[in-house]
Amino acid sequence: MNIKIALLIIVFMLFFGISVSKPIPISYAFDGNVSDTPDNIETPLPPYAFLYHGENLTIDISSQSPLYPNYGEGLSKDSTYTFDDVMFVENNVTKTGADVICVIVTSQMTGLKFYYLDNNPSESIAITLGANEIMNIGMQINTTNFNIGNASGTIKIQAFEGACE
Amino acid sequence: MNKLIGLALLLIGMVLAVGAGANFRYYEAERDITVAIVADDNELIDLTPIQPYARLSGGKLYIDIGQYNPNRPAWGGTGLSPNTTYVFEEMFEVSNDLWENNKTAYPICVTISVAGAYDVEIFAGDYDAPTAGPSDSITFTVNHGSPVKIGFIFDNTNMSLGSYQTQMNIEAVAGACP
Repeated sequence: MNIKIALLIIVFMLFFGISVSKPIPISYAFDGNVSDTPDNIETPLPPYAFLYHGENLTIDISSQSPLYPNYGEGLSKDSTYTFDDVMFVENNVTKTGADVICVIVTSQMTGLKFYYLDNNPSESIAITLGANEIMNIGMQINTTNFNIGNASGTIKIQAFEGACE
Repeated sequence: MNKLIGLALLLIGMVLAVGAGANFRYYEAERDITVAIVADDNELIDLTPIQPYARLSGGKLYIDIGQYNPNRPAWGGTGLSPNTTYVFEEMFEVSNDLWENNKTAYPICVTISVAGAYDVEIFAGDYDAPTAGPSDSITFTVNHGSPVKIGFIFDNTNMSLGSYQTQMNIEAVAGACP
């Protein structure tokens, strides 16, 4: 009886393992212990982006930023700002184990767009990265109709194995 | 028998652990962005009024020579007269407060242009020896810590009485002007 149960579990687990690994998503490869912070695809480039508490990329253009130099408190309204090289994305093969990945950076904030190379800024950009390739990403912020005060939002960063469609 | 089950589970666990650790398939992260929206005289590229004719309203710079300018004293003139030319030096200044300057000099090339029916010209520096202009579009370099003062020339030749408006467009590009 016990053996049967064990076999059932084995069969089930293997099936589960295969069905998950084949199509697309599993989990990102962690470095060593599970408790470690996963290595990120994206890396901030200062001064407007930095690692918040040494972990996650954060963009902060306000006097609250740890990189605030005591001048230039923010952006003005009804203006458009374009910042080259706010972050870079990377396919570090020793971490991803994939020869080709597709990185998608998506704005989830009004007026915020991203671009790379000489492409037009867009709310969502997809970049194919070969083994150990790096691409710098710039951002455009259009503050039309913004009010005085803090504006905030989020950025979604996704990566898949394989080239972008 | 229980040992067998335990061993089997351990093996499964190891297989899954190895499987999960070796292959990258998908990554997703959400990251924060915060931007302070501030008045023109506090932002990365400041536009700071120097004369009472220049003022900020709702955080935006206005050049306002008229009776409704809140800076106008009770005895202050309410405007300019026809068939005259007025020159105002140092109406406002442009400064470069980009954070990149904190590490290395990071000059910007600024272009200010005035477009509209009203004949307004602008210049950088003193009227006698302007560093740019006078013209309806001027380009000049701004270094951090060295604001550039902008003056105005209002040519009211053949203008009739009334109120006139025009718009100023300001562009800044990284690097000193060529």
